[in-house]
Amino acid sequence: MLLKIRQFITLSSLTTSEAMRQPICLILAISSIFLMALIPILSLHQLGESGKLVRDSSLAIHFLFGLLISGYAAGMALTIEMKSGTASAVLSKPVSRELFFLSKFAGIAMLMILYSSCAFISELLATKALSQAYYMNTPIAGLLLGSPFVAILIAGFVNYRWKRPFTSQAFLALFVILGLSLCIALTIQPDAQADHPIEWRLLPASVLITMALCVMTGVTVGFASRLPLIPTQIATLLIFLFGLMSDYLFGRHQDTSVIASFFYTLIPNWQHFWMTDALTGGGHIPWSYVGTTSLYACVYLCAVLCLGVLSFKYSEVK
Amino acid sequence: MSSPDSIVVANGLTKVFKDFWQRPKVTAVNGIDFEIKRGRIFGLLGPNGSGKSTTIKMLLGLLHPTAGELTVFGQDTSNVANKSRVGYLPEESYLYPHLSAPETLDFYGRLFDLDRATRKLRTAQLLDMVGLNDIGHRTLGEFSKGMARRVGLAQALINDPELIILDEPTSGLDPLGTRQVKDLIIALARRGKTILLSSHLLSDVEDVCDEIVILFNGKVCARGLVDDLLKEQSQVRFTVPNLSPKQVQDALARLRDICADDPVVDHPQRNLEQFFLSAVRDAQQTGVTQTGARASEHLADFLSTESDT
Repeated sequence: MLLKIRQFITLSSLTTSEAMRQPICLILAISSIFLMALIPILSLHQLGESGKLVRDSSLAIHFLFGLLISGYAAGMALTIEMKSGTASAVLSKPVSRELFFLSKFAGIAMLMILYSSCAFISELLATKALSQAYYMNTPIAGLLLGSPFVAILIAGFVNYRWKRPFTSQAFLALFVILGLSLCIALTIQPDAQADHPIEWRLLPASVLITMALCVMTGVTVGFASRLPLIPTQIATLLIFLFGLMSDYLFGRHQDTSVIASFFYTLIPNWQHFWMTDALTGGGHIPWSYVGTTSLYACVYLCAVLCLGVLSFKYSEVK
Repeated sequence: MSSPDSIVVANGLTKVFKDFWQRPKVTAVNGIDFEIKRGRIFGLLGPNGSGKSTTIKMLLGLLHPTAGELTVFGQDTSNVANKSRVGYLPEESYLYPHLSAPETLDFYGRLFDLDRATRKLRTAQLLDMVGLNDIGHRTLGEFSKGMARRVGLAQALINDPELIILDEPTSGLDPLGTRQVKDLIIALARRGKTILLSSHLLSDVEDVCDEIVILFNGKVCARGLVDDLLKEQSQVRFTVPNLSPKQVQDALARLRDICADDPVVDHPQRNLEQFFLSAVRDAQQTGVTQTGARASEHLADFLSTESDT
């Protein structure tokens, strides 16, 4: 059992590091943080509701870019490894297929948690930078806007000095720099005129989005156990789109139609994870709701991963 | 057919690949039987598409046999724990391109649950053995095919396996690297390792294998000990020190009295591989600095002998 745990940690950490070394993942992560940094500047002259605009937009960027990273990294983790042959090299060692499959999921889920942490800090900084119309907290906006550039510079230096991979170092540096920026933001004295404290109530919203990303990762890895990369991406996209419209397409018919009820259960309902409306007007997302949704996400993930394990266990690794 | 000394036994092994609708598409392996005994170097030969790699992948549990029986160390190939006694060098060097050579060996060492000190020791010894100890932290994506092949060979030995499966081990290697790998295979067999070598390079197999099976279109078309199969039973060759033309004529006259056919006299020739290796060794002795992989003459110390296993 201990051997299996050690193998699981080894394989999942390699998956995380391989995914972090994919340039596309870094480009998507840096772009999303940069876009979040731009939102306060672009919304500066918005009449009213500027705080809501910044909050909703940054959470939407978190969700959208997270889905893109998850879809790409999860597809790569299994499909490309099976195609390139690294999967067969690993499975020729005393590694069970179940462990290999689950470690791939865990590795990408770790990447999504890291990305979500970066995105959450950026959301906090973005909402702090522009909490009212016509008032910009320039130091905070500068910290957020500068973070991606500083991370790139640090990664470049580490790559030059110690020859460590640029992409993964940039990803880690982005997390560290954003964390430091948040610490600095917490120490800056609030402006008496119009400054608002850090909006920690974004935390449950961000946690819900992270759970959605993990569910999406599970779905993608499940498809990747049998399908090539492009069909995996198409299937994942369809699941995402149907999941967004789940209430409209299936939810309202579930009492009258068995088929609608079946699909409503089968397809993940992303609306459960998107609760930004609850934050309007100073509202909060109750932690009890986060708990219930976590349970839904866990049950859904378990079902998807069990199917994925069964599918991968009997597949042939060429 | 199997004996207590059998490491691998295949009886009526068949593999049929199916299409999307589960209809038979191609029969890659068709009812083959073979047995590999402990300490032997066993060659699996055949042209492209003859079923060599499919057979190896079934041995490793990567593909499931459609019919027949296949056991490794007396166990079914789906037994995961059994794989800790097997080392595998794939046909292509299936390695993670973002890892360096030491990181790759450390990663595979972890999968075998080797402790940190053992991994470090074995990594150093194996990299020295394959001539890559000066390569530093360059990632495998930057390696030439031959260098990646050497790392692939090192990872196949990290667990000190009893059975070593080598799929086209000399593919992509220069003649010097090819010779080293062949010497390494022979040295490993002397230490009691059982080796399954798949190749379509006949000279490689001829140089190292004790026993071969030749596959064609998924079926066994020849099998046996290499010496027995290659021996020309209808002819005899004498090799003597250089003789003068008169001595040669005398010897021929005597031989003509013994046999009806005309005997043939010529000078034995070195093959191109031997000539190339001697030319490179001469060049190495001039002290020219080398980049990339270096020649290494010795086995890693940790690779156990038969008595240890």
